[in-house]
Amino acid sequence: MFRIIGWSALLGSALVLAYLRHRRTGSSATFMPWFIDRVRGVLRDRRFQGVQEWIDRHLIRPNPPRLRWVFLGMVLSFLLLALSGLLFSLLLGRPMFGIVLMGHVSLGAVFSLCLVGVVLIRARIYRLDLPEQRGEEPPDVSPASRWLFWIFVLSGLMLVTSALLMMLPLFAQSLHVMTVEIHRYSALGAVLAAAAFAVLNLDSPGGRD
Amino acid sequence: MRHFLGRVALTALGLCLCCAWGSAQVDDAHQTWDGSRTVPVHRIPLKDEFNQTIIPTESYALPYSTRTTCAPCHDYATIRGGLHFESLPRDWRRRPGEPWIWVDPATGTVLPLSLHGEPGTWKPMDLGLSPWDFTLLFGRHMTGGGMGEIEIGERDPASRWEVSGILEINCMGCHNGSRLQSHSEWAKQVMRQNFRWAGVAASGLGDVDGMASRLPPTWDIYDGPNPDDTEWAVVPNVKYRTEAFDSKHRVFFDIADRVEDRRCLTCHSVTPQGSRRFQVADDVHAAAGLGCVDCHRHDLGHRMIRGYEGEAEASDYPAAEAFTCRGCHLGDQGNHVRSAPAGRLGAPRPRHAGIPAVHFERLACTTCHAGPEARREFTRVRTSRANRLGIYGIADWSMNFPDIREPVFVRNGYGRISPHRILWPSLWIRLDDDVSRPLLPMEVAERGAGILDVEPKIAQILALLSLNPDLEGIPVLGISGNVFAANLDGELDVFPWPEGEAESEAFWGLRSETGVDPIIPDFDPAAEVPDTEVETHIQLILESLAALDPQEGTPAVIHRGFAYRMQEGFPDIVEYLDQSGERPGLFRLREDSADPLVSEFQLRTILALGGRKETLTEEQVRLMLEVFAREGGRFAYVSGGRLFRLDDSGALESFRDAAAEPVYWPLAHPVRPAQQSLGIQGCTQCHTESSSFFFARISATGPLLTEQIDTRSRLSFMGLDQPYQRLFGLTFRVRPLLKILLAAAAVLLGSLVLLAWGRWLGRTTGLIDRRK
Repeated sequence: MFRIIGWSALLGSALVLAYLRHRRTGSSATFMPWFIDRVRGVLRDRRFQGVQEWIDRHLIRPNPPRLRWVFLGMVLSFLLLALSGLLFSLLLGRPMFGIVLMGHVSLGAVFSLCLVGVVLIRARIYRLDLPEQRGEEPPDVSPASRWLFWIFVLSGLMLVTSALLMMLPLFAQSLHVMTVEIHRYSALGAVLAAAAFAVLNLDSPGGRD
Repeated sequence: MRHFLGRVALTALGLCLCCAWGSAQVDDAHQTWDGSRTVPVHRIPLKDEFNQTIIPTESYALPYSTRTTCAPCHDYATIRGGLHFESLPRDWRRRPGEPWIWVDPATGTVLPLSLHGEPGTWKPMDLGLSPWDFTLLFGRHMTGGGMGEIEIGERDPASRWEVSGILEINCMGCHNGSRLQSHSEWAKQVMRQNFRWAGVAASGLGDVDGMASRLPPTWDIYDGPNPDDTEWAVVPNVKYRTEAFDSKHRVFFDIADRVEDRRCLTCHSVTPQGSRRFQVADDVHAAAGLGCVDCHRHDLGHRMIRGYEGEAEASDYPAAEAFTCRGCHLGDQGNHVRSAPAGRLGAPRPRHAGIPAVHFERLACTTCHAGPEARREFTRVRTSRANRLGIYGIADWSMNFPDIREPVFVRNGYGRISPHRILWPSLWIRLDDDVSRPLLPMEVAERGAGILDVEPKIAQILALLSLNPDLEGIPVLGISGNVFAANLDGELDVFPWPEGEAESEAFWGLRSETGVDPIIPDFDPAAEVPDTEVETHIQLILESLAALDPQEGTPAVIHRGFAYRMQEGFPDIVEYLDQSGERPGLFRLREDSADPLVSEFQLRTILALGGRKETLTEEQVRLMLEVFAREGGRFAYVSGGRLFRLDDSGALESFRDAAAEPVYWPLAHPVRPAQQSLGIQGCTQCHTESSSFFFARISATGPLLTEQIDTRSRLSFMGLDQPYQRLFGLTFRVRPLLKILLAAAAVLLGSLVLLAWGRWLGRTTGLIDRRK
């Protein structure tokens, strides 16, 4: 079930996000050629130069030098966690095991720490209550980005909590299985939120759509 | 006698008229259960194998036959297709059973046999063992039927089925509720080849005398008793307990409503060696009041439900799925159960709190819940069938060999790791390019005279000496601080030298309460006046030893240049200068030499093996392989998980080989209480870098005294990667820290999320005022 939902969500989101991205510069009719061209471009970019630039522009440079590693750590650990998790749950369709599992658990600790750091540093910028509600000047962050940020944080919270609960002898077998499911769907939610956040903020001057 | 012959003739005629008597007599109406849950009173006439009613007062009443006695109501042909009668094809890939193990300590043979060809076992027929041989070997713990009930056309000409009769299914062996039912009696009668009498003797309905094994091979049941021999070759006969019969010659069979556990345990007992009875743990199900047959059910076909996962598919018996551990305890929520409601017989649903689901996918329930706990030391167990338990009488039937250990964890037919018992085979084997074949113990013993029979030879000498009533004390052979004495089983018992200075050389003595004295005191054979007392003493000793094989030489006492021997029943003294020891010694005189009664090789052997469980030395194996080599072909000996053979220089070399691989079979009982299950103490009960569950090492066992023994870790049987499991175990050292870290992160994140979303909610709903 999760595989169907997961694949549908990922592919559907990719298409929707790509479409939204394209709509800023082109019409609906030119979407497919543009999409194929972008996919080719990503595939040709063997050194992921675009991704590196994006990380540099959005994660490293905007943050104070001492705190950059927090963002970098979160992004890298999240990428590896997502890759390992989705590999087993979506591609292989079996529970994670072996060295990958050990790496996943270890990176999970890194991710949770970095996520806390990021939230502590960035929470103010991504406050959900709108500036006009607070009677302040609107900041340079779109409402969609703010919501995506907090959806990502919420998913992260559920990921961390479910991982913790799986390690504690609290739940009976059926609840334990449910916790694993929660972990999976939270991961999917986090991946989708992160992807949407990245796409919405890609190459947009000042982070505004 | 005339009466008996007439009756036999009549019955033979009757037999000719109804050849298919077995099935023809069955009343089909009785084969279908009418729905009543009571057990009918079994007051029925006993029938002999000719289907004649038994009258207990007859002079030579025949034993009752279950084929004919039970047949009117129960279809014997259907029953004999059951699991216990070895007739049911068994898919060992799903669940191998305990093999039959042929143990012969003298030749160092521990040979696992199976009719179903499980890995590591040998099929009896492939080794040239006929059903007759098989029944003689293992009939003691067979239920009858199967190999014991071979049709006339399939009988081996060398067998004695006509004398012994067939070993029919022993229905009462399981179904008798009477405490008179005796398995020991069954085993005794089988060993005497009284196959057709075994059932009645075991049931307690009558007493059986005589031994078919002593009858000539030409005897058959029509010959009746032999009035000329009432001492030795006595024809087996049964004297029924007449009080068990009513006026219509009917007998009341106390049929147990449910077969009692003790009947099953007759053949299925497994106990840790050396444990005391009160220490043996009960199965938690038995303690809760369940019987074996509550789960291991069957119908008339006796296709016992074995209760393992996948049995439904393997046996095409869907009902079996409901009687697995998961079937009762998890029901429909189990992975593979199709139609079983959980909670059968009050089975509680396990919580399995905090155990990751992967454990339920990769481990069988029994891994954590059955058998002894997986400690550093492996438990050595004795089983009824392998170690001949449960047979009582004057002789001690039980044996320490074979050496069976548990638990090792092996993947079962369902791909799940489950606990198994393990046994290393020990055998002499002919290595052929095509198919290697083990040698049967008798084939080895034939060639092993003088090499393998060291202990019985010395025991024989000591036993012969002990027959002499004039010797005051127990004859012993002392050497290097040890004293060897013969026991009743024709073996040697070893004791430490009682007191005083131990003799370093071989020393024939008499053991008494005060110590060990020389069997022949020192004397001067050249004295002018002979010591007649000593000479008489020597004569008595030599007379005792006269029963030794004369081809090996004449027993003699040699001392200070004189040899004392018996010549045609009279003592004879001759000058003999070749052996002039300071102490009178026992020798074998040959034409041109005199050898000690016990050779250096024999002394080395008993000294090495004395008081040990091993029965062979490397020297014996090397000598035997040299004997085999002279016959041509390649031979080897398997023991301790290694295959031994002679290298080019004639020395013994050993290596791992498929023939030396252990055989294992799953265990499922006793099921431990939940509080004693594996993992109850937490993850680190298994997951540490040196846990017993994964890393405990087991040494192979065998009858050969050697340091070349195979050792393996538990992990190697599971087919798992050792470095990974060590690393994975190490991670559990830091896991508490990880939990603290995650908990802290969860608390912080949760607070921040609550705060952010709460503020938004508050402002959106107006509960929090906008700031200006």
